[in-house]
Amino acid sequence: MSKLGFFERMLLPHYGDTGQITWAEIRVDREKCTGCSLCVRACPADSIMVEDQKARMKPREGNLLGNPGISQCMGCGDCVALCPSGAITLTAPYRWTRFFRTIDRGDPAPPRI
Amino acid sequence: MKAKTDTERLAQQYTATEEVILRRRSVRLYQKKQVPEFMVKRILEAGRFAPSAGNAQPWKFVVLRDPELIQGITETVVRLLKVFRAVLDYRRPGFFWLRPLTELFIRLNRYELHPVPFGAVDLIARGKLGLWHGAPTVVLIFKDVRGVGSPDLDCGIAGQNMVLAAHSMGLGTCWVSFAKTAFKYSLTWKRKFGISYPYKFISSLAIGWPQGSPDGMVPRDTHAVDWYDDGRRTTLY
Repeated sequence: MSKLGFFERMLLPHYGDTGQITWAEIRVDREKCTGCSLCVRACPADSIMVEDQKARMKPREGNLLGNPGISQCMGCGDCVALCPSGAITLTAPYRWTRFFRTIDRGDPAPPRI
Repeated sequence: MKAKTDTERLAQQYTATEEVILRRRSVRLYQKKQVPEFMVKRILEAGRFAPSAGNAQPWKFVVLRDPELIQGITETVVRLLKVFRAVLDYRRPGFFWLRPLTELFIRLNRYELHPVPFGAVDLIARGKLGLWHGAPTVVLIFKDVRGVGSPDLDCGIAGQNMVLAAHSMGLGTCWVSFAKTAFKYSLTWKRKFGISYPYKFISSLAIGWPQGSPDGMVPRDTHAVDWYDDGRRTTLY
């Protein structure tokens, strides 16, 4: 079992520093994507946008409230499951530092039998 | 011999219940079509038969199928979240002086003011994320605070029963706890629904027919599991 250090426990996150979060990442296969924008409407974190008839993830760096804003993907996988053409894959997990540091986790995996 | 073949078969495929559990995704895109009444009643039955500490059954369900009510609560929540955002968001230009105050609030209420729910507060207040995502049926879950042990947990178990029952029928669901603001920081809806002691809002479920086919198996984080067997400890992922 992992433990949190004393200083980690003292360091609560705040809204200004987005560096304390590693957002999850999706990859969109541009060949398969039809630009139907179902994923854009379903995304709870407003992390996907349609550009040139193809879905893409919002940038990971930049101003949170800027245009188009930054991705706040939590890796819920809703878009992956929803995409009718199977164009979306989850490529990176969602991780925290400081007080909320993600502990005792392995790599993401689909259901295993 | 039959028992053995059953076990062998089990090792190769999921049961129907496991399929529902593993394929279930939160649905955030609903069709306008209303859910038939008998299906909602059956979902409530699944909740009624949930296990609870001391068989206290410390829950109360409120079903909303009137679009005006759903819209009304949504408007209240959006209005309240706009106020929270205005008071707490120091990232807007010219509001740097709010930061010490916000950090104090975060320290006092670190889980509810976690940056992720606050991101959702921001999205809902800006109208980029709906509250119940247009679901035609909403089930509000209230706890009876006099329940045995941890009534919150019992409500969660009942809710998960309902969610799995709904998905097994081909419906979509989403847990929505943001509706709490409408019952915690406003009297309007408590009065309207007659909610008072011992009832307290826990969470709500959006239920409806999904657009597209959102259920499916996707990758998920694996968690370290300590496994004690044969006098040794191994860590599984």
